[in-house]
Amino acid sequence: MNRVEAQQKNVFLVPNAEDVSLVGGCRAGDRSTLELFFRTHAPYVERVVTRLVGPTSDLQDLVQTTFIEAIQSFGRYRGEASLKTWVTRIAVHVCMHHLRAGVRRPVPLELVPVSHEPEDPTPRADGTLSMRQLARRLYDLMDGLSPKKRVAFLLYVVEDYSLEEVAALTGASRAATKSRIWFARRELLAAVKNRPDLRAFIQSLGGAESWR
Amino acid sequence: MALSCRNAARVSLATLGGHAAEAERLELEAHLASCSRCGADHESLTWVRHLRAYQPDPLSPAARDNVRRALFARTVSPATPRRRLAWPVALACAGVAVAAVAGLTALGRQPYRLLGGDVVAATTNPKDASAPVQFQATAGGRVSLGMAVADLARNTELSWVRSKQILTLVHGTVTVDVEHQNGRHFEVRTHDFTVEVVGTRFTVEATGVTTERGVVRVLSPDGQLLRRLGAGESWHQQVEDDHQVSLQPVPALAPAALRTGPAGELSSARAREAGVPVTARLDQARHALATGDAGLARRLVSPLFRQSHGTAVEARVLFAESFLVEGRYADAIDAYRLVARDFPRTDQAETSLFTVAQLQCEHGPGPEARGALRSYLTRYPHGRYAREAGDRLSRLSSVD
Repeated sequence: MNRVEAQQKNVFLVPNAEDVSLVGGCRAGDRSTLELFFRTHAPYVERVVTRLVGPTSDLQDLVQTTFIEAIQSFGRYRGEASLKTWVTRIAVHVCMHHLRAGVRRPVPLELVPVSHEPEDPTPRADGTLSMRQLARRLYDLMDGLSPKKRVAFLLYVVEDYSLEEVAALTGASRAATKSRIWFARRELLAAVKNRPDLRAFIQSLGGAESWR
Repeated sequence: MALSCRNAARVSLATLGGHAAEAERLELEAHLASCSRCGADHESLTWVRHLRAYQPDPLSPAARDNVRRALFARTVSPATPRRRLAWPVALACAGVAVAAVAGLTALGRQPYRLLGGDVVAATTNPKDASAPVQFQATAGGRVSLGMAVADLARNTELSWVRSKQILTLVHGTVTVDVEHQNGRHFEVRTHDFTVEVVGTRFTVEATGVTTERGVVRVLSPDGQLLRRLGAGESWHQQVEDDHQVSLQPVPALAPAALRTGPAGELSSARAREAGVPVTARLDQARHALATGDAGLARRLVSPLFRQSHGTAVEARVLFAESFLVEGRYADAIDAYRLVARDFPRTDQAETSLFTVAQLQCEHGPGPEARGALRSYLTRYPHGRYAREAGDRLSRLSSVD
């Protein structure tokens, strides 16, 4: 994302006319408005939750918790940010709470297989990993970080939020956010250095050309 | 102007996140070309681009609809904007809250409550938590002991020390239902052995223990582990056998067992494990679990996963239990889930699913615990543990 896109993204920090009308209806407890709020924001909340927690069988629960918190908190929405930013902030806090609880296991062993979620395939014939397996291994790397550092790092580096936006979403100061991202980087580097298996795995992913 | 290493690290992060300007990226490339350490560090983080490319699977329309329905089924009432409380009202509320907390604390300190039957209690000092309380029941009865409820059979006598959470069975039979509390343990002692629990329901008599659910450890008076009992298992000091778990001496290994496996490749212990008949293997694995050797138990049962249905399910259950012995709850949950998934028509599937729910309740976060309980209730709405699962679910929901 270039700077112009980033500036455009900031526009979403300000509530628009649609947000204002949605909030009015939601505060009044209007069922159809609440449903519209859910339908509008559910895909984005799902994405943020999966990005922060990683592939998880708790996605449904976490999304549900986020929306319950949001619907019960409409009274405290002050209109200082867009609804999307506001609900993202709630999702971030729900994820941090979930990560802080300590048991985060990317469980692919759902008892009732969901039709859209195929069984995790074994490594393909050419030895490469599926995107899903790859993501799971990469999120394993993150498990050594504290939830605050993990969330700040992922929002900044993977989700493209600026420092100020990450600070606003996590309820921390800019300095604290910067420090968390910095230390997350340091800890991840140390983790990779201390574990030859991880180092080999990362090297197997290929060179760094494509990011440049 | 050339970047310093510290600035290069900052720009490297910004580049990975797509925040760096073109000029900064060029400066970074120049720096990385001349500084091998920064170059190596940067290479070590390039996996982030794979995470950026990863598109998580969204919820299916059906799952999303489930969330929507669950959301509105809770009759969520949006909160109204906060109003400033008048000082007198706030003070009154604070007073009521303090009184309530004080009341609840006092209630929590109450050493016991007689819940029914003809139980008679006697203690030298009711306010002293370390003073033992004696309970006697002629026809039987029930007592609440803080985190536990004890059902006394006929002619039972108990002694209870609240400060240590130790219940001593003087004579008779007692069934104890212990609620799990983080960091607290509960013991029932007899003259000859001690039963140590975290959260479960079990029955103790002078000569043995039967576990209805959860897991208990049976210890000798000097603290040695005698047995570890899962749900439905029992242990008796004198008889030392029961219908589910055999404590018979492990059968001697056939000489043929020593000859299996490539000569010289396996250690003698491994070689011994390799050729043991199926039933002896299961017995050995149980014995290994009872003595706390979870690794050996896993090695013994792993080759049995492809055996006949009955053997395979038994092996997989023991495999899961081995993780419990080691306190590896996440692995235990996964293993029990596999039992439930792969052997859905067996009794062990139901027990495994409920064990998953119990472990999630005791060691996992709220959403996972709720999910596991719901999974159990969806699959076994009238199951053996349905009532308890329902109770736990409503307790969790009320806490939230």
